[in-house]
Amino acid sequence: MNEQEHSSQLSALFDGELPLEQSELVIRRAMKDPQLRFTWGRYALIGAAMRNEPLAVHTRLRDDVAARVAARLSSETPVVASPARGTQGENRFQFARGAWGMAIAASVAVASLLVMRIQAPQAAGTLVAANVPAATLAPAALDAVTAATPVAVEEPLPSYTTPVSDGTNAQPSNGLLVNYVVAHSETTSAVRFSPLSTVMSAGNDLTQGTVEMTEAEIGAHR
Amino acid sequence: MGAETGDLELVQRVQRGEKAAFDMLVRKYQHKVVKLVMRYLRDPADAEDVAQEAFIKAYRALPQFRGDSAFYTWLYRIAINTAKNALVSRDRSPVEYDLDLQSVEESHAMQGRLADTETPERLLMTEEIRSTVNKAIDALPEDLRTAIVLRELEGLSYEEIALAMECPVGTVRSRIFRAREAIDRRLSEVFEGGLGRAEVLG
Repeated sequence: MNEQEHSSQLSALFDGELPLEQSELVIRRAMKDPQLRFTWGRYALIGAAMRNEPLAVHTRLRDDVAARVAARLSSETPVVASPARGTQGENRFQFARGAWGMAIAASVAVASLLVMRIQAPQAAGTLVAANVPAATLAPAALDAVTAATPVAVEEPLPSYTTPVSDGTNAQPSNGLLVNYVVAHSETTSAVRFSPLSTVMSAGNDLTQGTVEMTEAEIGAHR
Repeated sequence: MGAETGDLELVQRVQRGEKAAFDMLVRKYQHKVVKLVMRYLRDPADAEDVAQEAFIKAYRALPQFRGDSAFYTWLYRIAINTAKNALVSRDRSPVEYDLDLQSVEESHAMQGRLADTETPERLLMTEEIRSTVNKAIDALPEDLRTAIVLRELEGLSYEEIALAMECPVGTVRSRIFRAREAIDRRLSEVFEGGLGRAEVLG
């Protein structure tokens, strides 16, 4: 864009007739270029002269009102408007929402770490790696499992499928699971606020879909 | 769209801490504010002092300006109050009765009296500027002259001028710019190095 076009836009901006998207660019340019601002000032002077208004000019422009105002304001800290009240409220709400989100995320992370710590010894011990049901593994493959190398003899189930007990892989008692879940709830904020102990004491069967642990492991996590 | 739109953009920039945007607002309105203040104070030097004070007050109050009214209306109110306060502090009665903004805009009755208090140097300069501008307008092609007159003297919007001149709005914009450019060029020939061309604010 050439100088002519810039001045043309400045003239339209002076009259408030420049589209918003172009105004942004012209104003930004004028902020950096004092000569453009002087040109802008002369547009005002021309209009005032045409209307026979008093002209706030002096032989030297540095003596005019604009120059004196600029000199006075040069030592002042720039004024900055505070956001509207509604916006502040929204910001507070967003902050609170963000804080809750972070708390929940942290709780989930802690829970995940606990689950991983629970699962790690199981993989090396008696439990089936990668959630492959014990019933689907051949005896030879079980040896491989103890070496932390899962080998499926039959088509494996999806990894999130809970192994179904067939009697060979004994389930811990219901009481042990209750103790574990209560202990778990005490270490994770996400469930701390729920009436979990009430639910557990009601004798609900929560074994489906939960992680199996030995009694020693439950004790370690209390 | 109108003067309010452009002013509001500048105001918002000032509110974000950009002082140069306020400089543009001062340059745009200094003549009008001085004219307004002169309704209360006869001496041009006093009027300029009060105008300066009004702009400083406006700058400091800008964070509270929410755009409920046009910027110039808000500015004019500050200028009128500053002028009245200046009169009170000097223990003088206002030169004029209370004026509303409309009558201030329309009245030119003070012009003759103002000339009495102008310094010779200042009077010479302002008269020279007026004369130069008027001669430059007379020398303009008719379409440019009509466009700038409808804009500056009649206060019409570009759309209204386009209707009156039976041409597109873009042509009006171009004509007004070319008229201003021609007048400004003539001013630069008369005031070589003056009116901001060879001066940089310190």
